[in-house]
Amino acid sequence: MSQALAGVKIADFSWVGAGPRATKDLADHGATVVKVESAKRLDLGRMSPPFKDGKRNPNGSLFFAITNTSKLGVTINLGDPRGVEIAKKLVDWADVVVENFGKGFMERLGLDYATLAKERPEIIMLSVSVAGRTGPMSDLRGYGNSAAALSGLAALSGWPDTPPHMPPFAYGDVIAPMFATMGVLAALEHRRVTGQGRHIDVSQVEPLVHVLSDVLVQEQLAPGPKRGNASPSIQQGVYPTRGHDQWVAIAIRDEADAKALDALTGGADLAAWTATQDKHAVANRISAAGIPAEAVFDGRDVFTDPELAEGGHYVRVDHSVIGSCEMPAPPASFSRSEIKVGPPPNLGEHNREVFEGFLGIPADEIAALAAEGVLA
Amino acid sequence: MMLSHIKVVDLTRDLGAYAGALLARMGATVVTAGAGDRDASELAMDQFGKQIASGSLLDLIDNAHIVFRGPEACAPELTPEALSARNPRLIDVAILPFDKGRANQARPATDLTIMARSGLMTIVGDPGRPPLTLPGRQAWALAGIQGAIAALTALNARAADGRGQQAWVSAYRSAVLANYREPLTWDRVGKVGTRTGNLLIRGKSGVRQVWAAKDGWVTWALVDNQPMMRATVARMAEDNMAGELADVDWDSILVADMPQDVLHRWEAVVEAWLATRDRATLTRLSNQYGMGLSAISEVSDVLASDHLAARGLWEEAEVEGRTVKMPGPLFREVAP
Repeated sequence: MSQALAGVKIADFSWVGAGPRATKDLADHGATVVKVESAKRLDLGRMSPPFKDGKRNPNGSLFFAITNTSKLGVTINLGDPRGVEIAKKLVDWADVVVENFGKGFMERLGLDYATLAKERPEIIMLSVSVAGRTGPMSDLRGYGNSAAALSGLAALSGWPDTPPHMPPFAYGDVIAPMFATMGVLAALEHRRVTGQGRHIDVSQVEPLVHVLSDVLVQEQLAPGPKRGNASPSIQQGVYPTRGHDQWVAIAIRDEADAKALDALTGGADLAAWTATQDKHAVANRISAAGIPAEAVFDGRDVFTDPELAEGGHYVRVDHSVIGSCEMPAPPASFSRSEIKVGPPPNLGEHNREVFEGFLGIPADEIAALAAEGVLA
Repeated sequence: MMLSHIKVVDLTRDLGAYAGALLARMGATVVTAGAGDRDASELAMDQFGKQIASGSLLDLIDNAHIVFRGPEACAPELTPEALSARNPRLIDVAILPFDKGRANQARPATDLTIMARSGLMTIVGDPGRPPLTLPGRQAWALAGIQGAIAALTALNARAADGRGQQAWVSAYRSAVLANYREPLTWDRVGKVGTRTGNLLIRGKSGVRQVWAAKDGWVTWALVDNQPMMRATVARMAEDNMAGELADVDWDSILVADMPQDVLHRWEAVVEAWLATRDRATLTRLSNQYGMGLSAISEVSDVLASDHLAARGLWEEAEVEGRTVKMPGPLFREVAP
């Protein structure tokens, strides 16, 4: 089987989470993604734990690894004009340019969309930022929490009697890359039909607003307290099970579910009934009766879940520093397109392959530029 | 719009319905064959831009690029095999709770139960209280987004040889993908995360993320970002409220390695300063000086945001006889 995005060439200047997650998806589907970094300004993702053997090492971060699978990695010092010239050659090679720098950075390099599109109207550029490239807050510098705060996610999260809650993972760094991936794929389709490229300007705030739109509509129709685990259309909740901090989630969709659950519990109080049972066993028992129920999994439960192992969710790859490790794959399968998850690049690992092989720069010139800190 | 030439038939009734809505937002013509019996507010997330099927569904499918289907059983003439025989160029995407053909394929599921199994709920909420889901229906949203991505990915493959294909998306795997840190942390460190309220745990200590301002809430944290720390302390110093933070050399310490009691002391200084300022002032200072602070927007703030309005995010829709604001474009597009 071939890969669906084979032949798509991407110059990826993005770093940390929001940009790299989008290009990881594209790379796992077969796009050739060249990740541009610099040892002089490390991708903060490379300094994010956990690390191989607990030791800080820019090539040993598991966080970086899961965010950058299947990519090629080069180092270019964009602070040196000669580095910028190499970057321009890479952009000339690419179908798609991806960046998530602060506003104005790509303009200062002469790599902004307006400049590139004058020469190559077919080029596609993706920019990802906290609040977008336009609008009164386009200069905002922040991190994942900013998007949660500005989208309403934090205010809507938590229990009805608690202050805003900041979920302990950057959900904006999860959703925005998916919107970015959709944008790039749609732009590629558009280009096939029209020959014209696009600049896709993804704000981390707006995708979060989109996935909260049902709650936002409900709040406009009938404002009320935060819902916690409640649903407007399903009777559902989380109940204690045997052991410390062990729980099961149960959803009663209709009268048939209610009757079936009542038959299981013998009319006992549901929380008292679940409290004496193992969370997995009770979830399976309820589920076998046709009622949606799942144990509340922790990280260990998820990592060891046979459903994921059998489905190929985690793919074992060999990495020269991390060793053998499990990397997440896109959550889809195709009848005749293959997903291949490869290792993430070490810093500058593919300099020669890309600069010489893709861009045609002579080996002696590459060596000289590397020695002078331009390709570093 | 980018997908104005794309025709989609949406056979979903609940799970998967968001996929068609997303393609509609990018210009695709999406015809839905039945919306089920859902609550109006839940419909709001996926109804936008879709048309209701009229005429022969099979005629529509013969001319479609993409079909989306959910886990529900379908009529014999609508199976993937039957549709592929009619239209070999068709991309047929099934969005399912679990992987097709595996042990859990018939396991009943809702958004809440998938969120529970994904490992996300165990870390969301407060210590001493039950696990908590995220607002809205995030497992369903994540699966819908992945369904749209699968369809667009298959369009690229089709461009190479003109052939369609089937794709299957797992809502469970979509939600697990969002839980990017917990399974990995277990695998590598052997640690299981739990609920820490609004504390961000990194390294040996936890830092606060939510603070009271004069007129509401803001988010900010003591983190290992030296420019942000210096910018914030400088503003506090202007008000003579920096206290011992004025003497911290941010370049020589790692916040993640600081003892918890020291962080509590520092956070008390920050707390006192933030309580003297309103959200608008703090936002202005943060934007001007790079403090890394954001005001926490209530729903009314989000709907009234000048920034989001200037970005053209909102569109109006009729829901239950009322005009409401709903997000429109997925992102901003600039043509050459």
